[in-house]
Amino acid sequence: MNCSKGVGTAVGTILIIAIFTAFFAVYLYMANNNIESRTKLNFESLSLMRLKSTFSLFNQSLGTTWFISTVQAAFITGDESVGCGRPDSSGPVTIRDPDYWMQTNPSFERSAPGEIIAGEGRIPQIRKYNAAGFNPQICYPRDNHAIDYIKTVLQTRDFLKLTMPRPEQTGGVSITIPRNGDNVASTMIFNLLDDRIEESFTQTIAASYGEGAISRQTTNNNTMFTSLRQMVASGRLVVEALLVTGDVIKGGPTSPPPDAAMPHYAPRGALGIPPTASQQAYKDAFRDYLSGVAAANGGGNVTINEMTLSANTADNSGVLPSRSPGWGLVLHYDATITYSEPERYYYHDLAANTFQKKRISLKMKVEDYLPAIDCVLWQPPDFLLPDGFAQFNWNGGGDMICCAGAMFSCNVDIQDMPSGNELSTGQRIRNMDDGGSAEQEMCNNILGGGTIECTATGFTIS
Amino acid sequence: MNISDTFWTLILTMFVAAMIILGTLIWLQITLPFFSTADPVSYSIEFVHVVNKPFMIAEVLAHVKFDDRTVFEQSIETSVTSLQNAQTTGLPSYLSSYLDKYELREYEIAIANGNNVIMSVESTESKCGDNLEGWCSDSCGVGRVQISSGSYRCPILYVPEGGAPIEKDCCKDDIPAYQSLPNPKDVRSCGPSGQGVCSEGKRPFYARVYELIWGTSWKYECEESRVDLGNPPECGPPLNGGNTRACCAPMTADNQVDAGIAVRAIVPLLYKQSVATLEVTAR
Repeated sequence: MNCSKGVGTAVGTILIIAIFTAFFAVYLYMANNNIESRTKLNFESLSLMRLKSTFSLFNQSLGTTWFISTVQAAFITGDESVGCGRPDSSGPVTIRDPDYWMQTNPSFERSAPGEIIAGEGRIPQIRKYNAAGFNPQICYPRDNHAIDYIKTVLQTRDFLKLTMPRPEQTGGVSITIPRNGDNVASTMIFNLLDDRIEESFTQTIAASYGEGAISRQTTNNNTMFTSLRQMVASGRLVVEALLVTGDVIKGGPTSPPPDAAMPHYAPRGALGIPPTASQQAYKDAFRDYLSGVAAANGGGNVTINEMTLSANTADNSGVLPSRSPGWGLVLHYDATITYSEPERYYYHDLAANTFQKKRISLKMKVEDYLPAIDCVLWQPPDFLLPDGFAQFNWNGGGDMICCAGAMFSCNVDIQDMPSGNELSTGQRIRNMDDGGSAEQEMCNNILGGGTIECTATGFTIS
Repeated sequence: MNISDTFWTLILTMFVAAMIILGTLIWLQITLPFFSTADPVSYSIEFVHVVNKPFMIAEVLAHVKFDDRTVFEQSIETSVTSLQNAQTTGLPSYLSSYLDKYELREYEIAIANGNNVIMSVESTESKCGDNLEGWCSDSCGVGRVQISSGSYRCPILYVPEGGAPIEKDCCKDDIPAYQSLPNPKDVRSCGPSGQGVCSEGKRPFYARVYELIWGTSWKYECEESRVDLGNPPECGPPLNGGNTRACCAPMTADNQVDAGIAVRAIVPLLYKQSVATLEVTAR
């Protein structure tokens, strides 16, 4: 009996020990397995996290790259006059020189307002430029042309020619973007609004790290605040206004008398018309007129590059058609009109290698040749001659006259004036048999016996 | 009760006692800091946290705007030109003041173009000296010399009654200066790329007891504010009588990354054909 009790106790004890041992073994196995699996999970997590985070950060960095690039493209688009006079994807360029929105060829007659060439009027409806043959030629960029030029700048000035980082520059992650030639294959969409440009760049980014890989199409949306669209619209209005100016200014008397806004070279002694004090006063008035046009159309600032008054010649025969040289005065102006907005973004100055805050500006040039005085018009029936001729001020004192359709000057040097029309103190308008020119004899013929003489104070009639 | 009952009861008691001792040892291993393996759960959380931190910081910086430009904008423009030319001279101080708010233990943010570091900003916590060239530490150890705290002072350890406050030492990594001290220890380079030196490290009073009981070497840790590169054989005896077994490297971002105690997030900065990087190191 004692023996069987001892066996029972032993078996019971062994069973308890076996159960304890089994539990402990299971615990140790699970604990060890847990550590191993967690360690493995952590290293996989590190790999995945690095891949995912690097991909995400690269995409955000790329978005910033696109933003900076678009800002630069907007700067360049404004500085380069929306590409006017420069080749781009918008079609044939009919403007001769870069940056011009209006350029007149003085050798050819001005196009009439209603003229149609190649099915279009002088203001193009779709194309960026009016058709070849119009005079003046104009660049008239609309919103789509501005967007086209921004894209052209991005595509041709290395902004899309991004160098991809090597794996050591990304913490071991290999990143690629498909290419289109040298450029990154990114689809660009721009929305030009009055106060901003909404931009969207879409590309496929592939990244790999270790066993993991991501390939995803990403889109970077940015907004830059600029009134470039309004500036371009204002530029178009200026072109329209200057076309009308060219239609109106004929260089002769106007009826009713000219308004204060549009300058006319007015003679001395004409009823109701104050005489133009001098050629400088006329140029000043025209400069003010241009400033007024720019100010009224978007607040542009005008810089005169060149403004001259000269006698008409064969070279500018289109300005005063069918007039012999020296029969009038031609005004030539070349001006830059600048629109700008407050400084907001940083411009990359390549020469200085700096990023500096700068205004986004639109710079547009205009050039025109206009008749300032057409002497043929300053005679009956357009103008009643109190003394038989119209007397103007070049420097003052009536030192320039229109007589029988020709122009004569007294003691002044008018550019391109034929020598036969230039008189100095003591000289008179003479007939041909007296040594005068054909124009002088024509003038004498209408004076009815009077004599026009150049004196130190200008022309006098006696 | 006979002998057999007593025997088996004794066996069971001994087994239970062994289990309790074993359980206690496991508990000690988990809780006490000087054991080499930590609790697997806390280890896992710390690991994920460390890996995530620099990427999270970089992510936040992508959206932060200083002055009138985002950090990424300023970084790209700086990488293409320079701090002066990009008008971003305020970027380092902005980054410092921004990140200091988050009380990060260690961080370094750098803009680099290849090997050219254009800008670098790091945390000033634990740093000292007039030009932040030193590290606050309980002791300097081999390869470092104590310098004046200067304008960036170290934390006060204690204030003796009627005496001046006792601060932590301000230690600068400077091997030549260390070797010119009286009775310097032999300086030997250690670590995978020789970036560390063999130093005394922390030597708790029970280290010797541990070695006697377990018959294995105590795991010596480096002095404060140094990167611990373990106890490699080149630091063991006979070098300095076996008293400089810890391999310790300067607490630079590169050394921390190499040692696996910090992670670096690298953001490529692209502009035309320029490729630079914004590097965020944190732990």
